[in-house]
Amino acid sequence: MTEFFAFLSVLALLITEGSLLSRRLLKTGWPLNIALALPLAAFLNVIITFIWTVFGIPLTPLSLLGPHLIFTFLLTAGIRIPPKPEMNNPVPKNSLNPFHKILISVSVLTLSIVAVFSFVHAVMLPTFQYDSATNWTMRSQISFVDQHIAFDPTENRGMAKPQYPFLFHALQITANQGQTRWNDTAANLILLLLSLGSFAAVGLIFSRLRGWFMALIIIALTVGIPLLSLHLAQGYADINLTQFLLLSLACLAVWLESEASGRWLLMSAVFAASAVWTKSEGIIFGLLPWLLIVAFLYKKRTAVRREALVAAASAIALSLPWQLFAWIKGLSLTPHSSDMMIGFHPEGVGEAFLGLYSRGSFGIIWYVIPVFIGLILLLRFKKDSRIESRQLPLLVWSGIIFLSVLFIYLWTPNVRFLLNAESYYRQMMVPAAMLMLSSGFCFRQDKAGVS
Amino acid sequence: MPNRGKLLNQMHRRIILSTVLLLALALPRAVSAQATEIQPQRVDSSQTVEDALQKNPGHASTVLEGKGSSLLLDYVSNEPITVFLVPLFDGNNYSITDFLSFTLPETDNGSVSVDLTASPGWSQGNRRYLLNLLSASEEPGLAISKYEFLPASAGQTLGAMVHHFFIPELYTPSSFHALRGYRVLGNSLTPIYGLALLAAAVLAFIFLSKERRIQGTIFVLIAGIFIYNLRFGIDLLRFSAEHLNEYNHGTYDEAGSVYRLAAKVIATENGEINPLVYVCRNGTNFKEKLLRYLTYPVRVSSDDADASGATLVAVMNKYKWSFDTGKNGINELACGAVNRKAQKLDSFPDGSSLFKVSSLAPVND
Repeated sequence: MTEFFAFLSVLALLITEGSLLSRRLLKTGWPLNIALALPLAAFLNVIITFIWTVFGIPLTPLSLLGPHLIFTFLLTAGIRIPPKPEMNNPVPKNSLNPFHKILISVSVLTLSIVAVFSFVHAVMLPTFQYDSATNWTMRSQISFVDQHIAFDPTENRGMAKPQYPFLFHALQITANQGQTRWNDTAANLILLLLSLGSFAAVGLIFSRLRGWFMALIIIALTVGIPLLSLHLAQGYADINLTQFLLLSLACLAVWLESEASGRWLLMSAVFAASAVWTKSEGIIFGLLPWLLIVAFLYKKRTAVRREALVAAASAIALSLPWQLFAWIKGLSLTPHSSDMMIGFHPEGVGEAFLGLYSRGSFGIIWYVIPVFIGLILLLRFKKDSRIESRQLPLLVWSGIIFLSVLFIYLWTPNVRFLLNAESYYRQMMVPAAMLMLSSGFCFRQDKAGVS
Repeated sequence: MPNRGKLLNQMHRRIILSTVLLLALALPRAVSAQATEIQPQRVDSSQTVEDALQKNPGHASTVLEGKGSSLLLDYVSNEPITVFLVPLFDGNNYSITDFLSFTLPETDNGSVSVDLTASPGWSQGNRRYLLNLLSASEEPGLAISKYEFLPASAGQTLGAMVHHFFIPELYTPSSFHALRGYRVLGNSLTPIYGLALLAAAVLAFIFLSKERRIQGTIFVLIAGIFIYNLRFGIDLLRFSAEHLNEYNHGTYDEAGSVYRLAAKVIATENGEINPLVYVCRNGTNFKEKLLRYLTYPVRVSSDDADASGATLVAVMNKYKWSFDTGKNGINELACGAVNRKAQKLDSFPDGSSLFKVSSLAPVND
């Protein structure tokens, strides 16, 4: 019972801190602030952990929770309730026809099933998946016991992944403060709550632009991708990487449609940086294409240049410390040391195609996404009012991620992880989810309120 | 990392065509009418294959070709024979999701009927089937004299389609890497369903009125995704119910009882100096890795060099080991590199056991 209350106390602190920070940054309503609480607190937490790691200060309840407590106190100072949220839901009231009701029902059913599965496997059952026990959660546990982030170069203690950035580990370690020994349930539960907050936040942000009906469907379609729903049982950082990129994309979408507010672009930058601290792929999938999109908008939209510049500088400044640290420490900046050996691997082409179109990891989503993109481009070409042209950069970003994954697995020795059915599928979860969300943002609601 | 495909490939490679097994003489012809029906099990765990390989040193294989829903075999055998059967496609390829296992009972003159439709790789057309036959003795007296394929009725084919559609995805320690997908009548469901959905979307686009065209097409596509995802949702609920039930009874899928064993290690070694668990095992290192995670910072090793410093011995999926209660209450554990006086602390539902070893000196010294 003591362990449970210790966990609840840490959780309450992180949620209070994160929601206050969200309120400061976005000046928005409480539902979104609470949903964004853990994603933001997770980022603050890795920065705190990183600073202590640089200075060699042990990761203890005092060193970890103290800064969160101080930051929370500072955030409460001078807080006031804004008169009303900056953006109201622009969607007109509409009557739902039977087709809409069917989609609502299956969306709720999908979300309910995934919620049951993820709760059972993350909370009621212990860690099971292989890489969690040998890499991800194992590193968190060793670091918790050491009171320092583990950079073991050999597997003598059961894990050798010094090159992994450590947002995932830092959050699990903080969630375990106050526990007498490593608490597997606390470690997985905090990640499940991070996922819950992230997807709820993406849904709430989406609903601001496109209404709750489309938001419900798009979140259910994304969460329902078979491999992604499996990953919500937690234990691997791929799901967290996906969540941070979806959050960054959603915040960018709000900024693209409401140019007045640079706060959303700044928030998008924070989440792009969070992706960098979550997995090495965060640079290629998150930071670099994000900077490319912002640079393009900087050139095209002179009215928002200052905002774009501030956000880009923030994204770089928030991401760079880990890269510098890894470089100085002599760690690989990519997951594997052989990742930079570029050369085409034709033997992977067939498997890459079959992985998307013939296996079970993605269901039939890769059949539908190209049709969505085709429809968007067709309607855009016809200047159809149902297409929101300002959101097209989101598709470009998602497309870059898709091509990046193909490049990684067809032009580097990572082809072996494609041929033996390993990380290729996990990484393809990211563009699948990003393309689904981007497509959703590109469709405007019609007069009836639904597209 | 445990990989069922590798194990099955290993099994295939290890097959030795024994001269004692008279499979080569088997010809397709009418078999006895009074056949015992065998309902084979799908192989959904690498543990099944590991166990069979360890317990059965006698290996042989053959390929039978024919068209039908059941395989009738006339045979004699002086011992039970474990059979792994898989439909082949494109030459000698197979899918690891398609394996079936069953046991041919010992008989002087028996006839069995094996339901082939249980495999998602089965289809109503002419197929080649690989049979791996494993026996406890290296030279079993097995002879298959006749075999025959019983043709499939339309009802059986339809039933097989429905059955295949509801066969769950594999849930393994590596499921986070990739999902195999559903197979119906030997074909992957994903492309069939995906292309059918695209065709439906095209039809909606063509035949719906201009005002409803886009909406209708998008509805068809979204509904199509939901249908597939809800099918997978059935598996998610199955996994949840099965795993919870297993866990409440002391096991959890391929992890077996390692969680209970780990709890016992923690309770036993609490406060000990330099505790070391020697894992005496056959097969993959999955449970050992889990045990290492669950008991950290207790050292866990299956390296024989570490056996002498062990304070505890965990016997997991080991096929040849002994624990004898000797005279004067001295118990002897012989497992892998350990041959020591020992006290049995507990045994667990998956058959694993935990021992406290009390002496560094070998028992026989």
